[in-house]
Amino acid sequence: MPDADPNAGLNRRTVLQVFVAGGSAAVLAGCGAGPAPGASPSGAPSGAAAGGSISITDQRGKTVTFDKPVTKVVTIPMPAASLLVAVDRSADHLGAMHNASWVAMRDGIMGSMFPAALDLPHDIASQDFIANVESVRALNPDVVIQWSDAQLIEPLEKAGLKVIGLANTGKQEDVDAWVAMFAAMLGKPERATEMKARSDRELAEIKALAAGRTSAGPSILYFNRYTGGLKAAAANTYNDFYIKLVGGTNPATGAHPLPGTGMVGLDIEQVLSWDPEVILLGNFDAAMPQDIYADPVWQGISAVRSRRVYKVPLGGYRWDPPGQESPLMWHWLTDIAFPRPESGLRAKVTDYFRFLYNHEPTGEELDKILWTAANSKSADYQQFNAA
Amino acid sequence: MLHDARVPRLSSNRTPAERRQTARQSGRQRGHGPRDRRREPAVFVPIAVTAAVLSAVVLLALTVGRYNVPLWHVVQILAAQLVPFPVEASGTEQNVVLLVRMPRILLALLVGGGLAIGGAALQAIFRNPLVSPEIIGVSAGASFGGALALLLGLGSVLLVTGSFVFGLVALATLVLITSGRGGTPMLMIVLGGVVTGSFFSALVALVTYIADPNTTLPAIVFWLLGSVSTATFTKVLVALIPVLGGAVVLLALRWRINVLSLGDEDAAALGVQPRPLRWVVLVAVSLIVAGAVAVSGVVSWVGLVIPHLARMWVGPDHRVLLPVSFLLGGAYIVLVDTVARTATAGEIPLGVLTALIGAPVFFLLLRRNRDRIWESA
Repeated sequence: MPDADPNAGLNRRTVLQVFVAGGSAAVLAGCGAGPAPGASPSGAPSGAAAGGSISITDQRGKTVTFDKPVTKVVTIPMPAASLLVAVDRSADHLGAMHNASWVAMRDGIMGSMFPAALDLPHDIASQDFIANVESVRALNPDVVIQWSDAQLIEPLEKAGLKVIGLANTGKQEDVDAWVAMFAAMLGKPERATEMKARSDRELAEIKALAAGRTSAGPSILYFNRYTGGLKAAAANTYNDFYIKLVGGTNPATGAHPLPGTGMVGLDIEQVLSWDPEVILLGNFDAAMPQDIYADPVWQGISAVRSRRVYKVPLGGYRWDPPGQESPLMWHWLTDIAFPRPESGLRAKVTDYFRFLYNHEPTGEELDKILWTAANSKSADYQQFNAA
Repeated sequence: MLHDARVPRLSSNRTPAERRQTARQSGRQRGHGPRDRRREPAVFVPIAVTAAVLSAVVLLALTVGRYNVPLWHVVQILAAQLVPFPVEASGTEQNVVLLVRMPRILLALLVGGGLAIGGAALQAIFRNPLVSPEIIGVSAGASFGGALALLLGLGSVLLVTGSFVFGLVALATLVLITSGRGGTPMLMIVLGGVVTGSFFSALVALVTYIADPNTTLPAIVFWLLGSVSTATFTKVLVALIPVLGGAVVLLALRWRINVLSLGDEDAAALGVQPRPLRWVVLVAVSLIVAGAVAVSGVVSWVGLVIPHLARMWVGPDHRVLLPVSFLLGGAYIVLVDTVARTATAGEIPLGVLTALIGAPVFFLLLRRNRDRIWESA
């Protein structure tokens, strides 16, 4: 996963067990006090609705109990802030966030959707996620969201704070788990079900589209980094998952794969020898298609010759890693791999943003999200232009 | 071995101009006299052999890579640069050889050669086999400059400028620490280097601390690990000026470095003023290191291991040792970088490989040559 995460893989087994046993929000939002301990796996029991407390088993396997829905949340893992806003459809219950989340909000569309969030404290943790316990304590939050690492969590718990630990293995399941926990603690478990159902529907649609195709999809290479040394998405990445989901192939996991997992450094010669048909530039550096088009070394690559180099969109959060906007990424990539005269993506983004953030993006915001200016020199990108 | 007849015989108590005059005369005299060693095979053979090794390594490096370019095409592409020649190779193959491999190899050569000759010169003037370019703090200064440029997202030109400027700032700090009343004992320079180095290392740590873990931090870490994977001819030019400039100064001073390696008192007795000379060497090495760090990050161990290897082979005469170190260092880094880019489909950071190879090799060398490694130290 591109997100610098100290605990990737730490508690995956626990999480999976929880999910296999109960299915999305059901178990996570299971009631602690009394009612329906054996809640039906398909249901979405709400602890708060049952009049009791809310119990949440986090990705460390620890159960945290709240007497009532939380109203003030401090988030330290980077994607957590925008995800919380999406689950809550408002930034009202966000108390403070990591500086990197704040910078992403300021620079992205989140800041214009929720300007009040930019006034929130964001100097509560170091870049390696070590919380300043006293700063956090002084905010007196109902709960702190932190990565599932004992070293990161213990100081907070010792200060008497309730902590929910998140794990990040770079999979959609993690985001689903985060959504379920956030929805449960906010006293809106139905929101998790709703988000999951919506995401599942989109997934089924994309899968059906891919299955219905007779022609093979293009080979697609995702660059996590371009400037200062190339890094591409190898095995076990979310990027590899969605490239294959839409019907493409990932040369980095093909016949001559990159060694290791995650984002792996590589030499331009390797890219030349794979000769990908589509190149995706991620949002973890400032590289733009123009940088590749202007470089003589890259001219031999099919993706450059046919002008199929694209900057991945950046909405409420980056579309490259898994997140609440991932279904939009699947649709975007489908249209990139199999271009249409006119993509329906703008309408879809508008609809999805209404669903996620209760916000209707303007045409200008849509252009910003989709990088229409940066991608304007790339083939078939006019399909995403405003009508 | 240091106390042999190869040191220039200069008399003391003269003005610098007189000394230069004498040096020139004595050089000429030696050129014709029976004691001349510059013309002896012992001087030229190792240099010629190392140059041949370097050429072979460069040619090998030009022919291998993840993108398959047939050997015959590589030869054609290279020949076509010199004489009009019909080339069968495709445009991509030409790009790979000329725009991907060539700048990368040249950059590796400059970085490796520069760091090795810098290390050899420093070991001589400090008369200490453990000294390497890192010790005078310039590497740390240059690292900070580069990391700062990456943090601020300033682009590659300013990255190089930043490394360079802060490499020189580190050197100026060193001068400031050690200047003052009377002379500058060597110990003070080493201590000053340690102080400067630690300070700038702390600043590097600060930069990595405040860098955005999503965007800038990975770039800074990758750069700090040391790599020539982002080589372009612009970077080659950027490295060429300080590295070759510094190396030429060191080579021009090879006689005096020989004298200086005898120790300050002996050097003074032989008519060489140790202090100004030492600073000239330090500035030259700083130029080299700043240039190398600017384009490749921190490539460790080269400045320490290569001079030792070279010294075991050719002895401590800097007329031979300095050029051999440069050529050997260049060949070494070109070779290691070739492994870094071809061993797997992925890219292995060069600095990691040099340390992985350097430390055990150095260990073996020390074990096998415990008694010979620095006979007169």
